[in-house]
Amino acid sequence: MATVNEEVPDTVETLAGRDADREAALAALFHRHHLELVRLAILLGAESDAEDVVADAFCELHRGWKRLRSEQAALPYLRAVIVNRVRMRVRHLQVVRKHVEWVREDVASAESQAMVRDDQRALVAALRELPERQREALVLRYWLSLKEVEIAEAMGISAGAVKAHTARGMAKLGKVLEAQDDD
Amino acid sequence: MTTSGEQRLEEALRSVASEVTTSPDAYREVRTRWRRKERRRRLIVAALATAVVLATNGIALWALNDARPDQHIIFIDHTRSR
Repeated sequence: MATVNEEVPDTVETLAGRDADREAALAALFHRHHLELVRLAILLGAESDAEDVVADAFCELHRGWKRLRSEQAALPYLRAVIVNRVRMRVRHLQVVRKHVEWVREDVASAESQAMVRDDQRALVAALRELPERQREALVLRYWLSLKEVEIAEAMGISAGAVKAHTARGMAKLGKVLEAQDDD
Repeated sequence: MTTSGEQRLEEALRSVASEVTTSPDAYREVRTRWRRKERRRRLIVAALATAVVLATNGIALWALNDARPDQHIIFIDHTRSR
């Protein structure tokens, strides 16, 4: 299996070279996928912390770069870190919101919300109300169009469990869509 | 849920996602953050290594200082006891 760092002796020059390679690879990855990953964090429920969550994920990737199987593993790794961090953040907020009065932040600013249709907004709001695993599975499947295996890797569960979460989530959202159709 | 439902969900997600923008300075900020973390990590490793070396040196000096001049504390001279 290819590794990110070939086995060469550690000298000052090789270590500096590896640092430079790592920075260049991370910069390329950042410019290619940053916006998409922030959007993923927002859709998963990170709200205003989305950029912070993604920044943390990149820092974690920077730290764990040597342990990466290959450069192709970087993006799935980032997705898995983001899914985990957003999950932790949502759980933390659920605890905080039990104790303090909370005004809900919307997906984006009021101005930009005007561009999203009401039925779409209602659908995304219903998605937010789903249990976290179901929400994650649906966002990864229907927004990023990932395969079940890739979703399973990002969520740290089996492909069978992904199928079950997706089916349950879609069944619940189906009711919201039916209600929209009736109106 | 039907295929049309799936399409509607895809459209809704795409629509909400398309409204999200990021700060133009994002890369610089993240790079600064990971460099700062890396610097701190290296500093901590260096401090720990220094502490370990200092501690072992201190223990060794203390042991040498406490020993009698004719007593070997690192190598035991078996020939002397015979």
